Amino acid sequence: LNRINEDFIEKEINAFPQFEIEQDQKEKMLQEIFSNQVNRSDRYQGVLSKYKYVMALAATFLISLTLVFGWVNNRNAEQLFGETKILTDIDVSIQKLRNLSIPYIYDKSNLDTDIKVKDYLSKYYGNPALNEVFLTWKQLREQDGDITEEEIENTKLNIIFTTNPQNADFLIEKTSVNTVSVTWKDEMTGATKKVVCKLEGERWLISEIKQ
Amino acid sequence: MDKKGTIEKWFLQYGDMVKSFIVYYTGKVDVDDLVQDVFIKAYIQYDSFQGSSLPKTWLFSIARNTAIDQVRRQSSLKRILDKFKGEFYTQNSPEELILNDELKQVLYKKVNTLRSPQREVVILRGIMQLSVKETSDVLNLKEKQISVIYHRALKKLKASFGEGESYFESHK
Repeated sequence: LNRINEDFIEKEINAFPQFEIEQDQKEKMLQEIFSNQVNRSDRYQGVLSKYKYVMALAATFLISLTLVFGWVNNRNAEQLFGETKILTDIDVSIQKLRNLSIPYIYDKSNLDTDIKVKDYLSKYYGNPALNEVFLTWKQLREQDGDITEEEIENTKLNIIFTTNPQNADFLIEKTSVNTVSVTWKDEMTGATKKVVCKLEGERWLISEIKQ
Repeated sequence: MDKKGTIEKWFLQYGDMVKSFIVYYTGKVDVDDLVQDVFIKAYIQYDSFQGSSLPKTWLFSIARNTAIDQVRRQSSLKRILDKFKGEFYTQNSPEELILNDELKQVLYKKVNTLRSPQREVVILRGIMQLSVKETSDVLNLKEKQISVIYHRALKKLKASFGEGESYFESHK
């Protein structure tokens, strides 16, 4: 036991084996990287230009509001309708629902009644998504066993499994004064995810989950 | 060199390192698809690559984000299924899949009990043997912090060998 000091541990860690990609696999992967990237890159550029167009419209509209009513300043508008703000709010909403669905986190929360849970979710979701995720979550909590992965995957709660939209190809489209639809490709499954978000105060709530 | 040529060069130069990092970060052996994703993202985001950072650390940053997404998704699904199904997966543990050496298995298990950023620093600095500067670039922390975190992590690992299920006590 005396052998185990920091130096010994560091040497052991330094000697952990490294992994190599097989040579024939490397060639295959390179081909796929560049064949995939053509489509993805084109789409990304498309997304970017569409996004720029949407943002230009949004910015124009908000600047007009600023001039006419004087109650929204450019800085706020830019922040509220900015890509980072929208995507971050979506990610936080997904994480909050995910936390609710992780037993050891939920069990430590004080959300011990349906009213408390719904109130908590309502800070991140608007209807109809709020009702859908709440009812699905409630059903899963109350059901006794025999819930298959497929059953979870086929519910709206499935949104908790997605990768962070900020790390994926995404498209933001403004659908009304205070709503946007956001589409992204789930990095793990390749499935397309789509949500509609509504601006409430200074936060984008997920109001519809379309997937 | 054009963008495609550069990415290809980086893939051949750093692909294996990226793979090793993702294996230790996620605890999964079959990660070629994630490695591929890293380089696809690198190609797409190439224009945003800052010459101030090294390609290696930039790729590791992308790999880290990719691995975090993977772990988050994986753990959410597993925890939910464990809870609802009331059963545990019977597959081999990650350390058994990754390491043949029993001591290293124990050590890797202990590394995985460290909290972030200690675990990340041990993987990057210790297992991947990145320099302090490279590790600080990937994690966006100061170099001084990296040294302190790494030192404390090693101390914690050492201390953990004195607790309960000591490897040497059970293998005398």
